[in-house]
Amino acid sequence: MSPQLLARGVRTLPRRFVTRAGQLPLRWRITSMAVLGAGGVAVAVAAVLLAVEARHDDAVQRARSAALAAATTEIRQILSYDYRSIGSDLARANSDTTGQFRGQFEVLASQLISPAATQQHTVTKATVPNASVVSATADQVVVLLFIDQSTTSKTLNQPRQVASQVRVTMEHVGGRWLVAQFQAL
Amino acid sequence: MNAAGLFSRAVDMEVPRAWAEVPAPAWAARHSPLFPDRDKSYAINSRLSVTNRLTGRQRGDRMKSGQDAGALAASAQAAEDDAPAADAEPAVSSGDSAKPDRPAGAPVWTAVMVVLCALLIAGIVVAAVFLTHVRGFDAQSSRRQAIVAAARNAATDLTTADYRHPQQYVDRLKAEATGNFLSLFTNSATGFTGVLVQGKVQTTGRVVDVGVQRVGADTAELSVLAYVTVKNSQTPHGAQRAYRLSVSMISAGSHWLVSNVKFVK
Repeated sequence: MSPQLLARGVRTLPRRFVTRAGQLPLRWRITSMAVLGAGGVAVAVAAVLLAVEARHDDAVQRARSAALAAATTEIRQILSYDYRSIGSDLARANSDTTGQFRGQFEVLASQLISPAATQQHTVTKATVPNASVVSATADQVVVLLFIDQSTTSKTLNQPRQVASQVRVTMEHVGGRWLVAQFQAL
Repeated sequence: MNAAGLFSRAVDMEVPRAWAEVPAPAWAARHSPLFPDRDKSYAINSRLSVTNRLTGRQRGDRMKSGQDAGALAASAQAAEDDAPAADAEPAVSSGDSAKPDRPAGAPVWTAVMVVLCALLIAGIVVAAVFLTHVRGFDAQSSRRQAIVAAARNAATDLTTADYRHPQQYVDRLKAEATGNFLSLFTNSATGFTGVLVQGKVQTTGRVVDVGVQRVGADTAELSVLAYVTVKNSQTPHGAQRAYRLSVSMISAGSHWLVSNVKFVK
């Protein structure tokens, strides 16, 4: 199609349409307008619903990777401490917890970890060689972590290596992913 | 005059000339009941359609002028069709700008239609984009489930062996394996069965948890934690051990196969 023909078509088509539209009975015009309007409303509703769904899907996707990264670093922090800096280590660990696990960890830290570490000069360092997502929603992600812990203390002749596995539930609280549940497997 | 009165009896009025010549919006002008002119008359029938009723003298004038014979016919037609006053205007406005084939309402209607069409198309495009997005996510979710199920099966089969049926063990794993992992069984299958038989190995694996590290278009990395009870000639009563596995999987059409298994120290 030549550009001239196209331009002419573009110029004359609206005029022709208007002329022909004028010949339509009013009832048809109102009906077609109503049908188009109803269709428009239906499409708009569908688009909004799909947009909400897509937004939610994106949130789940982001939650998956953010919670996985947060779980890896936070569990490493929680399970690593040095008797010389036990106070700040446990305070930092505590700031990575929320919900059910927060209460449990506070008791564990103040009644067991802190006295034992101070008494036995415990230094423990944890690494997370493998982390994966078990299940995810937009604000709660369950993570499987394989953990290696190396511990030295007065009572140990050589560093003790312990391998453990945990299932951790991460929750999105105040823009951060925090450890809400901690289950040793 | 109340509404009931308006509808119950026909009132002879005529569309005011000044009103008929109101250029736009003609639609509103024609349909507004708020145009009473004491000197003019409307004909209002029981079906609420307002049409012009010309006085005998006017009709005579029109016929004489000869200009609006067609418009008059159109007016009558419109009244029969119950299309309220769609063409009433030309009947009144003898010799003015309103032409029978192009009533004043048409451009407004066209403009509204064009805007509605544009909005509709835009809405459909937006909805289609989001729909594609949502469907992609759903597809990924179901793929994720399929991968996890396949990894769970493969890990159970890998950690469950019986020295009395070594060939079964190898065959089962071969069906779920590809690449490096498959060559492990095809190249040294006899070695595998030999170890099982010689050591009187009996293992029972129970997969505790499966997590997804990464999912690509046709590859995936998973972590599997399995508790395995191992009985062999040295430990006839069995000992339980935790197996930490990192499993690589590759898509093979409709299902997923294990391409590699690593023990996570």
